[in-house]
Amino acid sequence: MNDSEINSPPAQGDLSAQVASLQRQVFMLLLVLLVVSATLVAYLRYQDYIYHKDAAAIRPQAMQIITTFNAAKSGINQQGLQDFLKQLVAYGQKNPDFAAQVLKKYGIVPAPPQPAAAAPAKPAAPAPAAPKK
Amino acid sequence: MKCETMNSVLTFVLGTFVVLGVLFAVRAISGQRDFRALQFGAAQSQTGLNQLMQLNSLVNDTREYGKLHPSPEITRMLDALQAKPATR
Repeated sequence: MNDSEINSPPAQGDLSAQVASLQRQVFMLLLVLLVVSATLVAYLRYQDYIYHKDAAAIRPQAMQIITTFNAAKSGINQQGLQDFLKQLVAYGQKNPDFAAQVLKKYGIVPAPPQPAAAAPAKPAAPAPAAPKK
Repeated sequence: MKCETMNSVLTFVLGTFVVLGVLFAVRAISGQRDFRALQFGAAQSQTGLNQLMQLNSLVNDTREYGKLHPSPEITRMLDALQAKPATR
């Protein structure tokens, strides 16, 4: 639309045609919007259904695991356990056989005992191979 | 006039869809959070249970080692642990 069209008074018939055209456009746009929003609503409804279904499906198992773990955890003496592990590591430092047979299996590698200050520096002997159980 | 009525109906239906869309979006987000929380909690608990089982196995292996190589130190450690059980 240029300036002359805007400024000049349009004829009555032309105006009616324009209004009718705009009404058709609005109607079409509403229809398109309706289709788009209906699709979106259907998609969201589907997502809602899927997530709730999945949550309901894993809930019993998940709750069972969580309950079991919480019950097991409540029966644990954390401090006692820490002490036990520290003692095991200390024992493993003094007894390489124990470290090789038991601790190594669980990925617990005790730090080698501190060499005596007066002892000459020697390369560490390889740890004896763990005998198979 | 007919067109105006039709537009009103369409606008009303559109409004209904918007409300439904918001409702389902909120429900979907809530369901997703619920699902993720359950998944995460179960995974964490499973990891914790596996660690406890490993710990139990470590205690059993230590006990077995103590039987094969009797040592007062091992006996003392196991006794201290049994006084306050570490695992069920």
